[in-house]
Amino acid sequence: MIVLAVALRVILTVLRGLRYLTYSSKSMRRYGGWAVVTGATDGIGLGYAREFARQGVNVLLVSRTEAKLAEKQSELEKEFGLKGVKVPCEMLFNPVLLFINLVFFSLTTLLPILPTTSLSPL
Amino acid sequence: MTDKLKEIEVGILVNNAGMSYEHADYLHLISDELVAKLIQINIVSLTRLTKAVLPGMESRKKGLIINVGSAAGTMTIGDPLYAVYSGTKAYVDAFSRSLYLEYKGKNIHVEVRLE
Repeated sequence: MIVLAVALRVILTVLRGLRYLTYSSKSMRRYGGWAVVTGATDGIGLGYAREFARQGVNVLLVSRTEAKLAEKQSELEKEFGLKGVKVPCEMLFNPVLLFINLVFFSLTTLLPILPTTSLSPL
Repeated sequence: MTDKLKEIEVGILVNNAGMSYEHADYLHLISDELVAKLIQINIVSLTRLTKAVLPGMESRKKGLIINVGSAAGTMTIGDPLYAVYSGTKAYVDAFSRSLYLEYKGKNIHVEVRLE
């Protein structure tokens, strides 16, 4: 009985793995024609951008360094022949919000506030 | 940025941009600017961008949102000397899980990847 259960478990795991393989190949187009990738010039972001382009999805590349963006855009366009639009930006970096964050953190570090954990129902 | 998003039909969003400390350090030794920047980029930007693409995805009834999290935000033991980074990534994790439940009925898939 135990052997049977283990065998079943192994078979199910293998099947799940196979499903993952089929899921990951050429299936991104079903979500639409465009993908937005932030931090797209290096590492994980670039990996995602390249994979989407390979699968025929246009990519909007978002990053801070414009020179790098232009380079990666033309690279993707040349390699996969798709539209790759770049948007250089300081990632929605809002000075007002930054100021609010700064004030909030100065307050929380300076004021002897009540330990919130003691008020939490958890 | 949000204007550009309105021009195209976004089917997939990858929230990969993020930042961490330059080096491991105690919380009382890092600057307020770094704390604010970590929260701004890892939390606020991610949330606003996700919010910006959701209306289009909802009207088209399909979409995929991939948020890049970190083991630092999911490990129960925590990530000493990277406390704020760890906290922001825990936000990404909980945010994505909640959003997944919110939008799974609308055929929008939300997932958090620990790369």
